[in-house]
Amino acid sequence: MSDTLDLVFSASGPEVIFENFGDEMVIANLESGFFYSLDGSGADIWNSLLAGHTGRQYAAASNADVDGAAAIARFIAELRSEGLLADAARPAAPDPISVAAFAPPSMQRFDDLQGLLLVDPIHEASPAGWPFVQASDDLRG
Amino acid sequence: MIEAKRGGAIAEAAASNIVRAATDRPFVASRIVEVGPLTIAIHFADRDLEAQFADAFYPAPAARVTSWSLFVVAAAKGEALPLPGFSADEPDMRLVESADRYCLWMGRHSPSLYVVDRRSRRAVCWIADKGAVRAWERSRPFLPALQAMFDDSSWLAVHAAALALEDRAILFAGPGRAGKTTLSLAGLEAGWRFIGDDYVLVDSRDGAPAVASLFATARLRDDMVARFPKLAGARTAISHDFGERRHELSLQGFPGLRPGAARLKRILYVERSGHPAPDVAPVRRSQILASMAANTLIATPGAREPRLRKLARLLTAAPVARFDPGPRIGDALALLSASLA
Repeated sequence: MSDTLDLVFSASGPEVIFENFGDEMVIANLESGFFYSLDGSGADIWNSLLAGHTGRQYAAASNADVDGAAAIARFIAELRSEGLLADAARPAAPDPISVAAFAPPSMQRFDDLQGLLLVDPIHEASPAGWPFVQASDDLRG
Repeated sequence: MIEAKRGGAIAEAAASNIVRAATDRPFVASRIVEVGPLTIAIHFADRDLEAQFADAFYPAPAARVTSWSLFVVAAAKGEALPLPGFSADEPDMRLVESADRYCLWMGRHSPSLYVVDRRSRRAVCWIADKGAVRAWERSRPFLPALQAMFDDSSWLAVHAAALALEDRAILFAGPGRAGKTTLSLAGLEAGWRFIGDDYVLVDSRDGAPAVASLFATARLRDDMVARFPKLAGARTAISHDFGERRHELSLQGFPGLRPGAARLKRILYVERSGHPAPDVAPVRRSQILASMAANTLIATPGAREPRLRKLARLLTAAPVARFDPGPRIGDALALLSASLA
């Protein structure tokens, strides 16, 4: 868990779209078709990570206690396992963050699109041509 | 703008060749139609195609300058479509797109190839077997191509219904069978302005969200027909898609119907939860986004990221709520009317 808190991340790719609606943060993974709504301090954690801060730096800024830090580490691990975060290089000087008091983060997953994509795949073109044979994910446009 | 994809070169070549091959053909009929902010000249290669599709659209006012041309052609018996690298037996959807061009084979959903060239503002719908066109496609023709025409604008075709009073509109989101068609057609019968029951256009511009009609059609399931006696005269056909009997309605000429945009005042997520009376409750925008995006992105493949961003922007531009219409649709419309006052 401690390793997770010390890592720096970025959104995992252009297929990950996020929008802050003010009272909730939504993340869409268009590759998998899952949508996520972040609760508690989830939006602050997401914004802090994408600004180049570690989970530990966010925990300090939000005055999270030991249990809170563990919850932050679990939340980051969940974001990674859902394919929303990728490891990134440590920035020279990340922008300062302003965060609200810590509240245990959680997320809700919506599978409306994922279910349709499973039964109804859309093949996109690759450098190999059209039709696209999904032999290697790195060819995906 | 759509970001150029790795398949962009394929899209460029395929679109150029297909548009040239289609537009070199003779066309026997043309209609000038209004689709939201666009005025489109639709050219049909034969009268059968005109009869299948033309009346789904609102005619444009006379003397309107066209902004797009759409060419609708059908393959002759035994003629192969110009599909690059696969046959018309291919069951899955295939998509290539670049910043300016869009090609989509609909696979099992429809025997249709759509090509859109935003540079020349010309589009093609090439149908492999015009006898095999599904009823849903006759009811909302060329939807993926129309969506691609809007990609360089702030407009987006979305899976939703909409009604308006004067120029103030309510958008009804929610999954299939949630009650969107019932609400929108009940509104039409009650004198509201019907904008759409399945797919409508939204303008996600900050501070001025709007909604407009795509099609002058609607579809009723068998179990809904008795509820709408005034619409009996609008029925044009009975179809059977996906094992379900549907009554196809052409709403052209129905009193109160007209194209053009209305100001979007509310977005309601329609969900029946057994309330004894119409009920409005809070809803998460993420739930509406997930629901609308799912059907919209599948029915109109391509440019997912910019289209999703438009949808997200729309959801920040208007108030949202969960809406259970309750058992009496008249009470639901009364509550909605009061909310727009």
